[in-house]
Amino acid sequence: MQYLNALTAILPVVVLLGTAVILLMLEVFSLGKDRIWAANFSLVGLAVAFYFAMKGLGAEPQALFAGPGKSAPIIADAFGNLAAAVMLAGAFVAVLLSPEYIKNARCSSGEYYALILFSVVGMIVMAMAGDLITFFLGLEVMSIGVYVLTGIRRNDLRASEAALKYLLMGAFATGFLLMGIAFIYGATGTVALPELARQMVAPVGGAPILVTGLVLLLVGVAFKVAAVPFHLWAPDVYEGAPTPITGFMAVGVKAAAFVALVRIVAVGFANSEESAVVIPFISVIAYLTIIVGNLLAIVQRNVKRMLAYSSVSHAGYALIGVVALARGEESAGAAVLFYLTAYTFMTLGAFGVLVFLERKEGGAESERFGAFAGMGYRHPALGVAMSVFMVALAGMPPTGGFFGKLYIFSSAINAGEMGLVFAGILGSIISVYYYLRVIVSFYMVDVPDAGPLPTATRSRHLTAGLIIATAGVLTLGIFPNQWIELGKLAFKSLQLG
Amino acid sequence: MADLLNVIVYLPALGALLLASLPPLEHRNLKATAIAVTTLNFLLSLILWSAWSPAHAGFQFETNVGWIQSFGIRYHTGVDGLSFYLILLTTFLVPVTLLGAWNAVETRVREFVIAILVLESGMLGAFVALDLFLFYVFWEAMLIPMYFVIGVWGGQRRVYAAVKFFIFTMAGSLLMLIAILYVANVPTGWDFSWASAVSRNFDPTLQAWLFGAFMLAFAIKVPMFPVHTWLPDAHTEAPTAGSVILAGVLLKLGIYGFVRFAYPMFPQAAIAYAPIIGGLAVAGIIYGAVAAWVQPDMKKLVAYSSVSHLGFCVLGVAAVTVEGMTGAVYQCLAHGISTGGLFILVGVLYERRHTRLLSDYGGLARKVPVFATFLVFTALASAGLPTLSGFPGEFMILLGTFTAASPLDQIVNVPGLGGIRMAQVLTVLGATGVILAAVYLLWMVQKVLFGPLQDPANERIADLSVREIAVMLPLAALMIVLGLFPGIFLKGIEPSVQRLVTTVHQKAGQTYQADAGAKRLNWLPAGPGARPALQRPLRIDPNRLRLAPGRFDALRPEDIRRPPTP
Repeated sequence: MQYLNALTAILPVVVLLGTAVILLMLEVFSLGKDRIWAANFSLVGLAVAFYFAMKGLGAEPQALFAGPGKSAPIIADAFGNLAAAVMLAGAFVAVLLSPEYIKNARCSSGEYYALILFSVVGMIVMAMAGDLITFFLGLEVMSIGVYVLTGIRRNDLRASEAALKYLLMGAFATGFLLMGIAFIYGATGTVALPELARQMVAPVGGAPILVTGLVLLLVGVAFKVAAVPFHLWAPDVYEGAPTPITGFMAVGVKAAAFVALVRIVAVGFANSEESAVVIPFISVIAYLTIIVGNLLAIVQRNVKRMLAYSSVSHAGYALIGVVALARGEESAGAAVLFYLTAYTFMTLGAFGVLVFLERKEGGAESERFGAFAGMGYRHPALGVAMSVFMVALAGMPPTGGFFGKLYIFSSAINAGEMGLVFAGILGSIISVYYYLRVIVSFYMVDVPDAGPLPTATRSRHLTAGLIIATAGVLTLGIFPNQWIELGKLAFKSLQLG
Repeated sequence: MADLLNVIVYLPALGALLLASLPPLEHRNLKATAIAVTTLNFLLSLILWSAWSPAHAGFQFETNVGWIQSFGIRYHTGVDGLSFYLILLTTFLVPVTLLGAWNAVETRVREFVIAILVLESGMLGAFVALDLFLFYVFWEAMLIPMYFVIGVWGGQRRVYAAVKFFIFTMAGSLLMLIAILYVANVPTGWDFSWASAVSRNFDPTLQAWLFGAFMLAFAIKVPMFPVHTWLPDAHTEAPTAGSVILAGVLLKLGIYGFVRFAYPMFPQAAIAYAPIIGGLAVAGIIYGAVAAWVQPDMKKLVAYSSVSHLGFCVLGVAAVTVEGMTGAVYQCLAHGISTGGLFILVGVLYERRHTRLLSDYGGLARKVPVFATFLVFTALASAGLPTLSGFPGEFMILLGTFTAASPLDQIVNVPGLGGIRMAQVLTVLGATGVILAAVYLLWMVQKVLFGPLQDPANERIADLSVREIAVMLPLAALMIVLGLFPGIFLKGIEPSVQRLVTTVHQKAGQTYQADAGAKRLNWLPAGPGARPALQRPLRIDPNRLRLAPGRFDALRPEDIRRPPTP
């Protein structure tokens, strides 16, 4: 009975698991060739889960599944629920992008949608993790789903390479992460976040061990968010994975890792001297990520790879927020959450446009900048949408990308991190160049006469996904107030719990 | 009437939305619709003019509602004398430009008129915003349509020019964004309102940095020497309509940013660095003029003339005197009209001959007398011939720079030269810019219109059509009105400038360190803190500072009394 009550507090997870299991069972009957029904069914599951997540925002923070005398592995609070809502929205859009891609790439596979749902379950568990072991479990559940999804086009060489690379690199990262957790446990005797916070107030003996543990933990997370210098896998994996999955990976995995990081920093390591030791470490990663990510994005010829590096650099901007948070600036937690939301919509939108434009047999060729010449005139609505996403990624008003950056920068200024702010500014200026290049090829390059038109099949799902993404980007830019307030509320719940 | 102001700001954007959602129209209908919308907007702004009381120095037609409460951001708009006439200029120039571009743009017409309409909304929004965040949003949002106008409908190197324009402006803006975050971060949380920003007092070092960030953003837009390099490229590559709007309105936003934001917010820094700003302004005046003189390309010539003319505006602002700043705002209006006219006329020639090189023309006066008349007229207005639009502004600026009330009036110790009187040197050098303007503009007129008609292709060149005359006539009329009756506009500009100058001097005076002994300012000033900016603190009688319209000698030396040296 107690567990049943606990389950009602994490209804989003329950709903998703149920949907995914039913999907897998129905798959046995192999209904329909393109499995539109599976996409629709997943959408329903995600929508219901989203509803419960938003409903959970108002509830009191609950510590769940705690054994007698033990700390709780899952904490269902407003923060976890809001983060879950962001990831669910991201997954929703990613699923909307999928049918069109599956039809073009002929990679129909029943597990596809179920795996996305399982991954989201892992993400939500990460967001609600009350101790480091649960965090690790969530991360693995998420990762395994994404590994398989990356290689789901079995016959494609690039996809297989990507999947293998991702798996091996991911395994390494996991090793670092676990090692870090082990060190932290060794130094403090606990993995539960509230308990860690208590341990940290008093000077901990063996601080070097703790610092080592923290650094290793951060390295593991840095792998997952593709922060420099742990980003080397990202471009190949992003390029090889199915485009909707690339989008899903770029936003979902990143969001989950950052949300968990915010919780760990805010709850577990706030105000401890040891955490102050690792701030320079995070700062250096942030500097590198912003500068290197942006510089490498400039030289890319393939739009998908450019977006991969752009997503690296955006991890850098979010890391600025994490540094500010570690410095004790409270608005930074909400700022990171806001940034991730805006980033989710603009990145998924950009990948959605790619799905629309990729030719059936084009392969990597169809992703070059040149392949998009004149697209803005052939598909006017699509051109407008892509311009909105690019402008948002570059951080221009009136978009969510702009407000997110403003939020992050303002919290970093409050925390006194001017150096990082200037790095962020510099990165944004560099990024303008390559984001504008997309618009240049859409509108300003003379259209070649020869060459077949890209497939312009109108998929309702894809259109809906692009509309949601555009609306999200613009709403967050013009009327961000509601979401800011929700973020603040969520972050407050984090400190209560 | 506040609602009318908001309608004026958003009507063009609504028109753009309408055009975007309509089924495919013929090109002429698209252009006609756009011209109708923008003309309606101009008429609406004339109605606003009738409701506007010029004697009132404060803001009028204000809207102030909550927007993003968590950040203390409000939707706050309104106009005063600094912005009102620039709004009129904008709503006037856009339909004229669209009519001028009737034949110039034949491809992607729908996208073109949409971009121009969105651009108009962005510019108007930036002029009316009284909230730093709102201003920043419009300021940046304006970039996007202009980027498209240059990049899609421009010349050969359009993409290069468009990207350069975008990145230059964006780089300046982002630094300003950081400064805005500093200014808006008040002790009680966030407050982005202009009023709160102006009421704050920053310590001198911080003030210098913030002023620098704002100035950089605005200086790039103006553009001031030495961050002007994007302008010749952008102007040369942009289509005629883009050039007219760029020179006519967009550049003015830089000057407007100075007087609306940078100067009242950071008065101490503004006064401390006046010699540097004034020096760069004069450098821009002379450099722009000399560069214009040697251009073989007419459009580049006009582009560099903009650098020179906008240098006058900056000089007037740097003087922080009523005459100087009034002259700067006035010069903005005059330059918008005359340079807009020049760009349109250059565009007319280009449409006929597809070349802009001066050497390809010559002796056109006999073939195209109407064109020749307009070109001579506009060039003279631009050169600042008395009775035409360029004169009053430049005269007031030079007067305001020379006057003893200016922070430029100080003895600067230049290595090798000894002490020089900054204000007088700057005025003299600035005045040579007026002469140079006459030189390069008449040079252009001579090369195009007079001399032997050598190229046979020029034999068949057609004179202005009725449409083109209809475009040029209102511009020419305004050149005369601005030249002969400056009082019409000055009576509205002057009270707001008066208020601004008083605010700047009062706020700067609050922490004046009266240092009667220090007579020399070492080059360069280390920072506002270490600055004995004026030889002695000035005491300006605000009642005597009032400048009567049309009278430039209103400010007499006895109005500014130096306290007796103890």
